[in-house]
Amino acid sequence: MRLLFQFFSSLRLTVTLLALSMVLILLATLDQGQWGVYEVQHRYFQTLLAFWHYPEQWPAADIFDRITIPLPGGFLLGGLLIINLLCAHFRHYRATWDKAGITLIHGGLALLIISGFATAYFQQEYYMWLNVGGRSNYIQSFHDVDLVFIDHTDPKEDLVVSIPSSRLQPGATISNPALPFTVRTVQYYPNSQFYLRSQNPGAPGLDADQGVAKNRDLGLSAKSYDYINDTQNIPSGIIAIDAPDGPRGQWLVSTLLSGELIPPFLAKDLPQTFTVKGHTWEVALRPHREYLPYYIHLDTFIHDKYPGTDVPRRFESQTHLINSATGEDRPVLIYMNHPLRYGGLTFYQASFGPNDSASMLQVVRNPGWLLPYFSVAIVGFGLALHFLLSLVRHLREESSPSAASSSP
Amino acid sequence: MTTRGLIISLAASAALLLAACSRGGDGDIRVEHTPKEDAPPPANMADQPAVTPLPIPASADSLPPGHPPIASTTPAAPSMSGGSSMTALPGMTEFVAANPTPKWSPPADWVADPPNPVRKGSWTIPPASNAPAGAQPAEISVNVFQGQLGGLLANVNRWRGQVGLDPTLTDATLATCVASLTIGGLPAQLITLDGPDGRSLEGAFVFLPDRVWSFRLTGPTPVVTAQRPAFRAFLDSVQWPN
Repeated sequence: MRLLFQFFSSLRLTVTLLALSMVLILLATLDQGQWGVYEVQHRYFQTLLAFWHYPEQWPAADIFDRITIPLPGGFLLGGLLIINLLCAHFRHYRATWDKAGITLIHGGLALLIISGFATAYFQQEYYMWLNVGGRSNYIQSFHDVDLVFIDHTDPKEDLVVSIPSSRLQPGATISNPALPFTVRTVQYYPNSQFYLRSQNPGAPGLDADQGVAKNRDLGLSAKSYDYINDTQNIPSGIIAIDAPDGPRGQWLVSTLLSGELIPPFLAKDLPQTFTVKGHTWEVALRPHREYLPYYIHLDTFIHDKYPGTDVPRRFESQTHLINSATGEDRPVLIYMNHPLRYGGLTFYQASFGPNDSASMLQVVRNPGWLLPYFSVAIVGFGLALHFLLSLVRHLREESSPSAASSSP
Repeated sequence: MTTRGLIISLAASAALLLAACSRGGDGDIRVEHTPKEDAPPPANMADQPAVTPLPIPASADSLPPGHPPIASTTPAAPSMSGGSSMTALPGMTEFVAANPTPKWSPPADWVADPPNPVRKGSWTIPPASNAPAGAQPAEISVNVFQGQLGGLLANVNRWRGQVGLDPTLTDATLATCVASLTIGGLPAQLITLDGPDGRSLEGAFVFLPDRVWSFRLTGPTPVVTAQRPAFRAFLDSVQWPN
C-alpha cells in the first residue's frame, strides 16, 4: 500500500501525465482535420481510452495505415491527475501557514479538473433561430435528430412524441403508449443523398409509397458521414407505420423535408400526415428539440458595418423575454460577449439570416460554467499568497542578525 | 494518512469517472404537450446541410424531365423564403454566392426583385395597366447551378413541360427550338418556347465544365413575345467577371 501511495503521489507521475496530455492534445488536433471538432472530443477526450490511426491523407498511408497507437483518453488522464494531486497533497501536506498558498493552488487545480468532468457530463449545446418579428420557445440540437409524431387534433396544443434517431435501427419496431400505432424502421442513414431515378439508371429506388415518396421519381442512398461539416449531414430514413386497423404504408422521412430548405416540388406534399382512430398525425425527422417554458421574441436584429466598408462592426439581437408563468415581459439585448443567462441556459449571439432577416442564438446548458472561474481565481490567489509568504520569509531572513553577521 | 489519502483519492477519481461516463438517457422516447408552433424561421444558408450534387429542379413549378404530373389535394406548403418563388436546396446558396455576379444592363421596365440568395438576378415585369384582371406578371431570372444539371436536352424538356408543351424532345429534334449564340463571349444555347395554354418562355444556357448559367424569361405569351428583343439585348449586355 505504501509503495502504491508513493507511486500515485510522485512528481514523476505528474510529469508523465502532463506529457501524455500534451501528446493526446497534439494527436487529437491533427485528427481534427479528418474527424471534426465534435467527433474528436468524443474519440480523444470524453473517453477512457483513445486510439490514434495513421491518417489516410498522410504520405505512404498504404504502408502505414495499420499503425494504431492506443492512448489514455481524457477521462483516464483527468482521473489519474486527480489521484496524483490528492495523494501528493496528503503526502506532503503540513498544516502550517507557509503552506497555505500551496494548498490553495492544489485546491484550485483539483477544482479545475473537476470542472472538466462536470462540463463533460452536464454541458449541452443547442441553437435557436428567430425571425425578425418572430418568436421561439424551443432550442434545437446541432447533432441529434428525432423522429417525431405530432398530433395536431387539440386546437390549443400539440402532442409531440419524439423518438431519438439512435432507436431507428433497421428492422426494429417501436411502440409507445402515446402512439396508437407501431413504427418499424425500414432504413435509416445518418447521411444521405437524393437523386432522380430517371437521371440515374440502375440506382436503387425508394422503398416508400406514401407522402412525398408517392408517385415520385426519387431515389435515396446512403452517403458517407461528413465529420468535418457535421451539421450539414442529411439524415434520412424509411419507416413503416402499422395501426390496429391496418398498415399506413411506408414513409420517407428526412431532415431535408422538415427544415427550411425543402425542394419546391416536394413542398406540395408536406407536412406528411396520416389518420389513426380519428386523429391526424404528422410524421417528420427533425433536429432534437427542447421546449422552453418561455418565449424569446426578436424585435429587431442590428448588423452595423464600419462606414464605407463591408466589415462588420456589431451584431445585436434586440429581444423580449416573455414568460407567462412568471409574468415577465422584458427587453433583453444579446450581442457578442453579452449573452442572456436565463433558466439555466445561456443564449449567445451566433449568426444571422440572409438580409439580416433572422438571428441565430447558440444556447448552452452548463451548470458548472462558473467552476473554471472559481478555480482560476483560487489558483491565482494561492500563487499570490505563496509568493507573498515566500517574500516575507526571505525578507525576514535577510534582516535577521545572523544574516547581517554573515555578509561581507 | 497514507492509506486514507490513497482511498480518498481513488474514490474521488472513480466517482468523477463514473459520473462522466454514465451520461445517458439519450435513447428515451419523450412525450410532450407543446404550444402550437409559429411559422418556422428562414434558413441561414451557411448553417444548413449541403445539397447533394445530383441535379434536382430548382424552379418552383418544375418537375424532373419525364416526371408524371402529381395530383395532390393537400394545400401547398407556405413559402419559407420571404416571398421568392424559389426555395433553396441546402448548399445551393453557398455555391451561388461563390460565383461573382456578371455585369449586365437590364431594361428600364424590368422591376428588380429583392435580393435572393439562390439567384444571381431576378426581375418582374408587372402586368400592363390595360391587362385583363388576373393577368400574371412575367419573370426573368438568372441562376448558376453546380454541375451540368442533367444536360441541355433534359433542361429543354423541363422548360417545355413548364409551358405546357410535350417534354419529349430527343437529341434529333432538339434543334427545333434551340439556337446557338454567345453570351459574354461564351457559347450558349437559346431556347424559344410558346406553349398551348398562353404561357411562353425564352431562355438561354451557358454550359461551363463544372457549372451551368441559366437565363430565363417566362410569362404570358403576349408579354414574352413583346419582351424577346429586350431579353436578347439583355443577354448581349452580359459581361462575365474576370
